[in-house]
Amino acid sequence: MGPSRVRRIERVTGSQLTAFYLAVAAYLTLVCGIGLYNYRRASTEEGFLAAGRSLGPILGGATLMANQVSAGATIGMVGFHYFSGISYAWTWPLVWVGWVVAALFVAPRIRRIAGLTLPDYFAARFESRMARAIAAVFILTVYAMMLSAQYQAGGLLFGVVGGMPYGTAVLIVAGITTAYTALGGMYSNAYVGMLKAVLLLGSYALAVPYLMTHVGDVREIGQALTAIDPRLTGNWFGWRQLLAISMALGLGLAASPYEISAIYSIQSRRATRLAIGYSFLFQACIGIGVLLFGLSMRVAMPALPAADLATPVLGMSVLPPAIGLLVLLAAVVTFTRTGGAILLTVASAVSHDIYAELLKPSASERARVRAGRLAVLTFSAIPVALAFRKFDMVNFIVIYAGKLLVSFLFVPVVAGLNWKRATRHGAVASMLGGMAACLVWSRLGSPYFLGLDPAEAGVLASALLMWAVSRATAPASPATIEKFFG
Amino acid sequence: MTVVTRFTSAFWLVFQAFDADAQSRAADRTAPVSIEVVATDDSQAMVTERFRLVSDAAGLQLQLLQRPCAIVGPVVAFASSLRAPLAGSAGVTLAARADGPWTLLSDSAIVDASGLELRYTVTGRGRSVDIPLVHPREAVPRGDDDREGGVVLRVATPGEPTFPRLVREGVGGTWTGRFVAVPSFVRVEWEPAVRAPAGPCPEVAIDASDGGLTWRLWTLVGIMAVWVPLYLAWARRGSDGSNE
Repeated sequence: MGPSRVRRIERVTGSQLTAFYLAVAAYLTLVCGIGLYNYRRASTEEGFLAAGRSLGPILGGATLMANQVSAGATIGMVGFHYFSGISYAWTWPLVWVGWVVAALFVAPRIRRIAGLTLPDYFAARFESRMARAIAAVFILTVYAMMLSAQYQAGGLLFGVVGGMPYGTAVLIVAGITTAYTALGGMYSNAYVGMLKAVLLLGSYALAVPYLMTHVGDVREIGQALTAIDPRLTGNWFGWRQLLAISMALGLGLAASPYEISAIYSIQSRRATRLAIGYSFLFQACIGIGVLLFGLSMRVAMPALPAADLATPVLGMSVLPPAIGLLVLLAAVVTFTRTGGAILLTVASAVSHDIYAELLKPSASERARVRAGRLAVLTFSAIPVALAFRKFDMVNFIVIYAGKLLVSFLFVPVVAGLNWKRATRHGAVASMLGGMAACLVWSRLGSPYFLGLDPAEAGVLASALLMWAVSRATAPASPATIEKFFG
Repeated sequence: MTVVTRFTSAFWLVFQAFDADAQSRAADRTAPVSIEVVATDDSQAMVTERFRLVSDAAGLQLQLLQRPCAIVGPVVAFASSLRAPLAGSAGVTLAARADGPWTLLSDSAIVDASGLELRYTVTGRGRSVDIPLVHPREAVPRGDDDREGGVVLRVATPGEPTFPRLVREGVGGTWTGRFVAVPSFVRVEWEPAVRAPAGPCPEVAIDASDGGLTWRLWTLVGIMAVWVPLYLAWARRGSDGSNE
């Protein structure tokens, strides 16, 4: 096929590209509109970081779902199912156990302090600036990794769809994410979370039936996949691996800084419990859609050069233009929205926890908000550099970041909220020990050093240190105990 | 609103710049894999696939997916190095072996070839026909960036290809698309006004296990369907409480 024919093909696909760019431009305009509309409401620190604690159950549910369903799901998990089949889908219900832990043991108590960030909780519960600082620095580190996965997914999508170099695509994705986060804060995140839910559910509701009627029903897809590799329809990941991954992601969610920021943003305890339920509903639909996307694509196009390309190729080359456009736009909204939530958490760690609480406690409200917006702009560069390296498949990066997160955060958060005897020294030891154990196990374990996954080793070390050090040190003041347990 | 306009305009200009750049670069290259399908309404489709391989074809495993109402004839391969014209080399019928719904194709003749041409016919029935495409079992190394679709598919038919997405070339009955990998089949549908091929559908009976995918999927759906209402019922029980 000669250059002239290729030129003709490029001309006709150019109109599809234009439609995609127009859709992205419309989305950006909408996001900017939401951001500008809420700019005044987000002029206080509580408005910028916690949406004025005004979110109801449905908007709150969409926010919680939108935080969790990142590009790791819409691009990375589709690629994961393409590459490994159905078994990874079992992590959805297993991860929900983490949400129940959040609903029972985290949300009701953590709302008592009316904080803005997770390190606020560390400062209030453990009366310790050091605990706040360690939490903030660790969160920055892990979230840089998590954000790089979003940028990597966005770079792959824009690269395939727009035919542009991967590095350029990453920069554009980072620009979009940074701009909209800096403009709107949590108000934007909440409303774009709802938009994300509607777009995801709408596009999946159209795309899944289309794929099933064209590629084949579940039995036919199963036959084709089993012939490729029986593990695709059975257990590519064993139960041991699935439990370890689910524990890392699920328990990590229970103590996840951006989910806790979202919990702070919801109106009441009951609204928070309901919001978690509505987020299950959204997640169930998305989980099944993501699974069927990945499995169908493995049959429709079995030899993709990289599994993470499954969603971009599905949207650009397989589905009809209108449905494909919706799927691609939903993916764009996903990584910009989750990237925004992460950036907002990072901004709060820098401006609120490090700048305002540790470095300059006398800073005015305006200076704090300005520091938050500046942190969004400056911090965005580090994950871009990481995304350029393309360390691994998107979902593997998300899983590893989840393992680190659960290792240093889960025990101090849950034990601190539910065990009166937990002390500041116990919390610091728990965070440091959990992180160190997870890192050491990641180096040693292939796959399970001493029978433990790195996340399990991290949580175990964190729990042991919390218990031992807390028993050996003085308890928190009666006022703090009264505040959290009275 | 000025801020919004400036912001979106800047992004729009950036996008357009990249778009134009990508199109001009794409126009200067030829595809490593090109596939031509000629599907007529007398139930026949002729498929020609040309692979320009970066490395030798040694170890290249080919397969095709059996589709309902589609009978694939013998696949004939013409292999040579890129120095000699492909059409000039001798054709070899590839040995076929069924593996579930897949047909695996192999022949020692294609070893050491850096260029490969495949030709075969597909016979179908009905108003909608799936035309299986022979494709490598694994991604073919192309020495190319993943983002640049290396497969160009062209379908000439009086019907309308509905899967995967193809775009009509001009006003004729030719449809084209560019992909990063070979699709496992093309579906062509005929308008009711066009007489559909008559005769019984030569249904391909596939006796293969689905590996338990069906029951696993429905179990997963069932768990989710039970979990969500149970949780919501529990969550609704408590009072609204204070804003704590």
